[in-house]
Amino acid sequence: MRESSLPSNRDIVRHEMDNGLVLLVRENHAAPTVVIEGAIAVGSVHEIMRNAGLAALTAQMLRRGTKNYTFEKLNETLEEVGASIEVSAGRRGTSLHGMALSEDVRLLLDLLAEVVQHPAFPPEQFHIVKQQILSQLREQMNDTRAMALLTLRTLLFPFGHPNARNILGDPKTVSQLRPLDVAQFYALNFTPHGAHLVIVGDVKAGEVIAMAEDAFGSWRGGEMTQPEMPELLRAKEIHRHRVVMPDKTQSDVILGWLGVRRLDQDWMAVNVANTLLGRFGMGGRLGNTVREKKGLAYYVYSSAEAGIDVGPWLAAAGVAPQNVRQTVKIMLAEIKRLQEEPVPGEELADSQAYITGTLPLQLETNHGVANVISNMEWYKLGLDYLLSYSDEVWQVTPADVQRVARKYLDPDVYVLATAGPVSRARR
Amino acid sequence: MKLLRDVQRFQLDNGLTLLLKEVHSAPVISFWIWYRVGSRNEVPGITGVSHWVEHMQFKGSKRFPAGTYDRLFSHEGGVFNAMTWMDYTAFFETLPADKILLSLDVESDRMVNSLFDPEEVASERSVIISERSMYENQPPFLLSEEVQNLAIKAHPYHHEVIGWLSDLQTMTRDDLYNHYRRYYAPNNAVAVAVGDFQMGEMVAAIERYFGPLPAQPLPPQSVVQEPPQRGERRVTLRGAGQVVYVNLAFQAPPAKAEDYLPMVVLDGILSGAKSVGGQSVATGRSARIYRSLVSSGIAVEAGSWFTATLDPFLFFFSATVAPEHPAEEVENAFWREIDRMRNELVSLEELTKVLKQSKAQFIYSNESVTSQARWLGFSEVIASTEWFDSYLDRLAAVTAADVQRVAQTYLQREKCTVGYYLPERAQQEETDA
Repeated sequence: MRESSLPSNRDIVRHEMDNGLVLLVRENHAAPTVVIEGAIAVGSVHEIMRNAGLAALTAQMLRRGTKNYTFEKLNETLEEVGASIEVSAGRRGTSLHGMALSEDVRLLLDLLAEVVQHPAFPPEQFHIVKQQILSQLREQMNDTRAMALLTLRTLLFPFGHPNARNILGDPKTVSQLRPLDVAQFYALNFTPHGAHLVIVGDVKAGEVIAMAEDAFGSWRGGEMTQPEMPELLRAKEIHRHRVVMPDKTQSDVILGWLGVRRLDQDWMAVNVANTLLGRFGMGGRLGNTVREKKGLAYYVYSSAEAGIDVGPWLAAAGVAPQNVRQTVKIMLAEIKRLQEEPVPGEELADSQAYITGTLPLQLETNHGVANVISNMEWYKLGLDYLLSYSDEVWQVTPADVQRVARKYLDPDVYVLATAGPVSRARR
Repeated sequence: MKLLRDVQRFQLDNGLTLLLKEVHSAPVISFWIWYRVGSRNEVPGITGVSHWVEHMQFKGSKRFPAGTYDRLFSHEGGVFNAMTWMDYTAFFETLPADKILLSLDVESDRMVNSLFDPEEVASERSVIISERSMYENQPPFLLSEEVQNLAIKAHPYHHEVIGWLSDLQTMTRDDLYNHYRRYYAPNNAVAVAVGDFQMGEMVAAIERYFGPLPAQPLPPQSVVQEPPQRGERRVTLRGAGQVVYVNLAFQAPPAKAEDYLPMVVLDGILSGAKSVGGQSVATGRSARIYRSLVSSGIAVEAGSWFTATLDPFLFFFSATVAPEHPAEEVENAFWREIDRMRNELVSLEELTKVLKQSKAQFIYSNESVTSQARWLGFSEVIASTEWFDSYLDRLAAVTAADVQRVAQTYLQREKCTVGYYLPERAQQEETDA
């Protein structure tokens, strides 16, 4: 991509409000639309264990009625102009998503401010949202992919670690949550400090900042503290757990290890190594052996999740129950190969070209641009981050890939989560 | 609002239709090839063949051996994929503008030169079966497949695009190859390009790559007509889990029928105007079904669904039932909304809202070149680009009386297929260190 078209300091306007809220605006006049992506520094990490699921429930309740808008009126007002606002909780942050035709940007900002600053938490909506979450949890329990992933997290992270738990909570904890818990959680944790809003689209930066000042200027709140996490210890032996789901047709199998934080020195090398292992083309080396050569799976991939906290580095596939063992064996062999043999330069270059080359496609829509800018702000990467991004990708060497594969992955000590029917063959 | 502005149409001598549009907002181009073949063209014994052929199109030709496509496109920073639906099979690549010839090269080559190597067919067989297994793991799929099978008896829309397991187990390499040779031809295809190119250069490049491919006689189109439904049909599935699902399906008009757009408006009033694709917003929470089923707490999710097809297909209602509520309660709530549609005229406010939402959805979905190209190709294959171009104008002309008429015509009790999914068994767990 031409360097001049990458979002950077030159065309992102960054404005810090007195209350701590950071506004970032990038104009794009290609289509008469506007997207807002925001983050507030509160997530499931701020819950106590007994209240697991409270952050997710609170995020949904923000959108369920405010001081000046019932849930119905909020929906009607947004939908009659084809606009939308969604709120969702993560582990460390709560995300705000807004979209509208640019002529309605003021309405969108005003309603977002209303949702964030003046939620009313109506009890009848509380009951409905709680039932919806309980139902989602029940659906997860009947979903092999969801069960394998949730199981992997509990094996990989210690009890109490934010990455160990289901963001939605569990049926027991969610059932006992009360409206008061939501109101208290909100009052304690929702503050403009550490929060940001990215606005991208057919708007004028000066005007939209003034509108946001009007809408969010009265928001007050103290500094947020981010809790300390329990120390992570690498496993010394293999841990396996199998969820037996007799009525299912195929099994989900996931191998996992502790990976990196987004700001760790090793992040870029891990990102490149992971692309090569399980993303490039049709699932990288894993896709090549498990799917293309052996025909064992429709989907197979690896992922190296990295946030403020260490995330899982995992390899996953959906396979027939009788093929679980063979698939695990093949995946482990690929891990071993990544550790033992230097990656051929050409193969590494493929993955590097893929990472840098798909950047323009990610930046084609307002959504894509807003997400990238939101990430840069969240991790304090600097607004010129994209200008050096390609160089950083290309600096990763075969030795780096081998080093991070040895440091983080281990074909002899791993965590294995499976969910599915028992094999017709002996298992 | 004219959606076809700046789109140019050409046809090569071999019958390949081109739809091209210059968009210079980003240095990328999306190139698509659409074939007029899908599960609609399948017969018993080889159900799923269109989808499997699509998979085989990634398994190599003499010039591009298996495994090279994904490497080539990914290396150039492109995204690529393919999709098979009832009425079409489509392939696309979105690439940096200066790499787009790679896409033309690959697509023209695999229009005629794919090998269908028997070993590749064998390994792909288990991949396809695994794909079907992935769907079967989901109760909502099991239910909607059952309802679709029951609602459509004679027309090939009866079976899911993925095909029946036994056909996937027994289909031969030659079944696949014959299907490929029969339907993959320039005169059965539409090429679409949207992005950062000059019109003249793009036409010349497409002519250079695709021009030499010969036209070929096409098989006659299926003439199977679904017989009218003479009575209500019901199915109850029992399986794992703790969640109840409810589906209702009604035979519905195809894209080109006069009743199609009134049905789209009806769908919008029931559950919000949907996007034609690409970026979209949820619009259903102020609509009737959400208010009466979800806001009342009897369902945790509920909506309606209707899509443009070549032949008459289905109008769907679906709900995830809230804990402690019976399936019947949700079905009855759907019937109350259906009866309201049949008995009362919808308000002008509701009509206006659906129109506004549809316009907004069109604007959002035009943001990326990939989705613009997708909807140009889709419209051409399902109806015509003129159909697409006049879509919003014709939508604006739909009256409350039209909506009531189609509700009375299509949403009748004796023409309904109802499906319940009722859970019955739980799971066990095992751990070892």
